Amino acid sequence: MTSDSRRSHPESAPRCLTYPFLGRISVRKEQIITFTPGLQGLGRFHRYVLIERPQEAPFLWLLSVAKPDLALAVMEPARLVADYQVQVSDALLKDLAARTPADLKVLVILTIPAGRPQEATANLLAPLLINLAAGRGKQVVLESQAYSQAHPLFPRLAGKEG
Amino acid sequence: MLILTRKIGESLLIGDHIRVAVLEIRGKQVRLGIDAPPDIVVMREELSQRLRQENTQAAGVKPHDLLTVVSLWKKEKEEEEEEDNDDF
Repeated sequence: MTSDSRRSHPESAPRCLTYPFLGRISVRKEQIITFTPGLQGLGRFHRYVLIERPQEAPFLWLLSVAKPDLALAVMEPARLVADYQVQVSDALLKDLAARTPADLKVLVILTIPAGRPQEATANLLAPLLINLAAGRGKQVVLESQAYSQAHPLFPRLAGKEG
Repeated sequence: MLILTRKIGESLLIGDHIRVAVLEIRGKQVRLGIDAPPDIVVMREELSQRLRQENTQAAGVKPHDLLTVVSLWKKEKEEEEEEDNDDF
């Protein structure tokens, strides 16, 4: 199905997906984001939905459509680094069916070590670029060495570990 | 491993859709140009390993840990605001 035909049927029937920890979530086809290629290390799962719930703000869930226990916590990088910038090439815009970089939502993936949430980090080196309208996404690796793959969310708390 | 010798400006093809060109040689460094379809991952090997590792770890997030992160985040923001207010 092309993105155009998706847009012309905004009322497509929602499908209910059940997630072990989030419960039942109803997902419409046009909410699905396909990552091409898939996210490195996460195998053959390419289709995700972005779920924003008040109880987790400013964080969001990126959930696999096919594998309910595959979930990533994500956030907007500008909340961590005010001047965070991604250079988007024309080829990348084309891949994501976007006209301008403003069409793209930029998110970074969090790593939260089990039982040690104070050591949470964000992968600023490899952000996700998502064109929500077209349902396309890509994880890119920035050429700039300025950003870390493990930027601490709570530098003051992580420092106390000592 | 297949080993080929190429000069600057020459390229090689991998399958029908991937082209690798040698652009420049500077001392011990070689600059390569790569044309590949969008579904092919092209990445420095060491970066790819780091990214795989980071994504795999990230995918193991526990919902209650995220909720703790949310409360730590809110607390930090409140403290930052208080510190900002102290500046006045």
